[in-house]
Amino acid sequence: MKKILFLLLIVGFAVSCSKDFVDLNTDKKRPSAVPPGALFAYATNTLVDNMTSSNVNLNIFRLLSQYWTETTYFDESQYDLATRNIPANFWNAMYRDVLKNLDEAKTLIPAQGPAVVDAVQKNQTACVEILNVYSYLTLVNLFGNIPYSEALDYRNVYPKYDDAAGIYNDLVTRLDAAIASINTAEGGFGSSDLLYGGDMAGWKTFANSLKLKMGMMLADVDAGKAKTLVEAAAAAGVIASNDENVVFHYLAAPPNTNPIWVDLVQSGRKDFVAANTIVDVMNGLNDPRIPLYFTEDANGAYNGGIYGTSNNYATYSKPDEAITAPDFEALLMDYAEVEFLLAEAVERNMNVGGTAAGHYENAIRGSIEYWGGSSADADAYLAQASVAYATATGDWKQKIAHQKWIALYNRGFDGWTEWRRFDYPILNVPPDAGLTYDDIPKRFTYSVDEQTLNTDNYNSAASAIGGDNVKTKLFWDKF
Amino acid sequence: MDGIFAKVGFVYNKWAILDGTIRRDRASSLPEDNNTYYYPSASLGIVFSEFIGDNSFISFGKLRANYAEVGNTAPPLSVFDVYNLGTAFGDASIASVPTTKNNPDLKPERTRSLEAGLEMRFLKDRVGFDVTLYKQNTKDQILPATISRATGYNSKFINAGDVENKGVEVQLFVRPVNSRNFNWRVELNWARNRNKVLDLGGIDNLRIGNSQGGVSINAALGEPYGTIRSNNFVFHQNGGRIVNANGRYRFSATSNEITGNINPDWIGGITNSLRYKNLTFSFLIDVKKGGDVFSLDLYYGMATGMYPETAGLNDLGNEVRAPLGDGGGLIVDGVKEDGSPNDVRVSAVNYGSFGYARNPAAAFIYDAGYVKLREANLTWDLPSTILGGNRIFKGVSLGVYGRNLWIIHKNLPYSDPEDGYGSGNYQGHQGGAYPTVRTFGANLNLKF
Repeated sequence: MKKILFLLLIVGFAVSCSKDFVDLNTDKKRPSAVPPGALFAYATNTLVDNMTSSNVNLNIFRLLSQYWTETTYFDESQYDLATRNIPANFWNAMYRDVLKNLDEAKTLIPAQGPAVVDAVQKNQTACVEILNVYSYLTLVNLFGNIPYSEALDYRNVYPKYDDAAGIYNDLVTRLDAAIASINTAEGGFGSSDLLYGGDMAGWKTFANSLKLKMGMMLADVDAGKAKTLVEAAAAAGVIASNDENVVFHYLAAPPNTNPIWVDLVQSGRKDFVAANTIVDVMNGLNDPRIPLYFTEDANGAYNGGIYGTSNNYATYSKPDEAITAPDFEALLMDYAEVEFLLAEAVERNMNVGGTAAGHYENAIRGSIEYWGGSSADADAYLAQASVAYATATGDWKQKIAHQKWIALYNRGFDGWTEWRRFDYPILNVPPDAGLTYDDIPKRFTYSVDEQTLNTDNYNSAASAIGGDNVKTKLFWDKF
Repeated sequence: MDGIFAKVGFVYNKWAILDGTIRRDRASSLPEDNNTYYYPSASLGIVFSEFIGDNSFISFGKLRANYAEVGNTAPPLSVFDVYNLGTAFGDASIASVPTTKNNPDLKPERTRSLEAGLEMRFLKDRVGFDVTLYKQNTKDQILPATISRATGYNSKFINAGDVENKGVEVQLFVRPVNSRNFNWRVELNWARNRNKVLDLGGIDNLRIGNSQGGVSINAALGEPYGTIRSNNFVFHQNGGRIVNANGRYRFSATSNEITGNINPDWIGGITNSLRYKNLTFSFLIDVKKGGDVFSLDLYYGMATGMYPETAGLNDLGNEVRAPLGDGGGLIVDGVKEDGSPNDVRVSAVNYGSFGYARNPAAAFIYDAGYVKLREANLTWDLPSTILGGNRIFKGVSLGVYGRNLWIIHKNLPYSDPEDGYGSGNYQGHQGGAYPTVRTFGANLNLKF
């Protein structure tokens, strides 16, 4: 006998009425619209953090420029970029945290509508563009060719890399456009502007100073273009005193403190001491900035750890307490740097006014006074034959390079960049590591993520620049 | 989410069973245009031993086949874009673009699996097997795919194409001895899975995870789900690892070399159960063959001198950590550029020589296979004579057991190859490994 068993079951359940159904998937805690200024402030803060940080996973430029060295773990001082994925961390922090938010801010500026007048919107766009240029310039000066024309588009997850020199040209064009669109009679981002509080004259000076710097970067590869840019920038008005420095004022309370305080004080770590490279030079020159840069060692002297190897933290001078204060200010550009650029411009027969010696003295004086030295300190220092422009050792490049390297002490990236451009001063080679002078990085290797996530474009870029290697020189680094 | 579910089942004359289901879901976490999806399943079982009649050889036989689709929705809040708010900087409010890009075009994801099996028992259930073949395709899987940060994002939500898993599972049992006082039963499980990434919805590599040292776990088009990529040694054509003039290993140009695969060749287990009168003893041996793991612990620990390999005497009979001038140091195993054996002695005074920075990450990728005594049990059933006329308990048994008793064999030094960060997709990577917990226990079973 055959038996057939048949079962049928239907179950339905519903938990909502359709009117609110899609609403369930909207985020109640996070806004779908924000003012552009909030993104701009975030991007500014992050950019300055990236440039100022001494985090060993992010910013090791104080090591590369041999201002500081490490104590127990000295991989980074020996140029191990790979273990901590340092290039990737910096790359990410620039593209994702700075450039993406600048880009978003820029697209939101027109959406503010007539409540924000057109001239203010133009000024806001100019502020965004100036920081865009500063950020891309940093990436180009760090890596060489980078994603630029196809960057910041989530629809294209394989952005190609553009030629570094081409990006430079475009950045200059953008900077010029930003300068031209500034109306100093109108405001900008107001209290969201953490650099100038909406003072557009300050932005204009910053932009021209940046143009001066960009022009000079090209001096060895395109002297004509360098001259044009430098002369135009100098004529338009660059930073003329420490009062016009591009300053970021950190706050005393976390999370808005100076990242150096986070890394050195809040962390309780003892990772860094002064490097003998700079301390020996400054001791030799009786530099009045040495007590302003560093603490005394146990013997009341200034003594740097051996660069690139193991050092006992207690033995050596450390970064000065003023620098490790939570609200210590950070600089994106400053007067001393601009005066050194002008000194160089005179030596390169560019028409910027003044004499090389005059600008050189202004730069050193500006640096000493910025750090808290007196005008008498500066006089005494400059009076020494080893410092005075006429008598200091070396050719003009070496004289400027030497003093500029000292002045850029708290701006490791620029200190290292100027070392790459001038090939001076002579740095130390980490001992006992199988390294030679030639192993000191001339650039960062690309983010390792790009190898796995943007493989074809990575490979093309690596071969276009002559190998994804720290020894590959960037396009402006002729010598 | 709301849903409707229907199920229908037929049983025909005890030997054929057919089931079918269909389900419709509507999920609020998907975009409105794409938020409704149906998925069916069907299964057929034929107990063919029912119609081959009484047979002393085959005691049970069943064929089964089934097809199932399972639909799935997106994680909440992965469709519409929002902004993150930060701590205000003085008077300035702070907002930022989230690091994952949401996607208003997401479709439901879907898993399709096809399975066929044969279960047979022989000789009055003294011997039996159950074999299953399966193929499963996960289509349009919804996940945040890691992308080039030059896009301004860490990741974006996508429907990731098609990942295929196929394999075979075998269960086998034998009762070699089956008498009144003594029973011996052996059960064997064996499974082998192969997976392949067929389509990723417009990207060519899905990165599952990454770590320090440039090591990543990947699912790239045409490759298995779970390849390890890292930098590697550079090999001479004679097979030797090339050593630079300074006596240290040369590394591959990128960290994009495929240096491992986290998937095992197969896994298996054997359970032996022996019963003598009221005493039962059983134990399970687990085996995993193959599959790789990157050990961050060895990558660092070999550099910092935690492991005994980093100390002791070198080939000259001197302390390897002594300065080169005192006859210390080591000559790493490799060849020079011309293929001749390396003879450059390097210093091991400072940390580093045996670990990261001086060796590529590939040097710390190990075979994660193992043989383990997973479990052992000893149970004593109280004889009914002791229970006597007790009417409360039908049976009482006392037992002791232990789990994770012995790693019989493994190839990863100093830690358990099974340890990992978690049970999710991010496998094949070990850091801060803990020993597996060994458990002992006793139990008392009362049957009423």
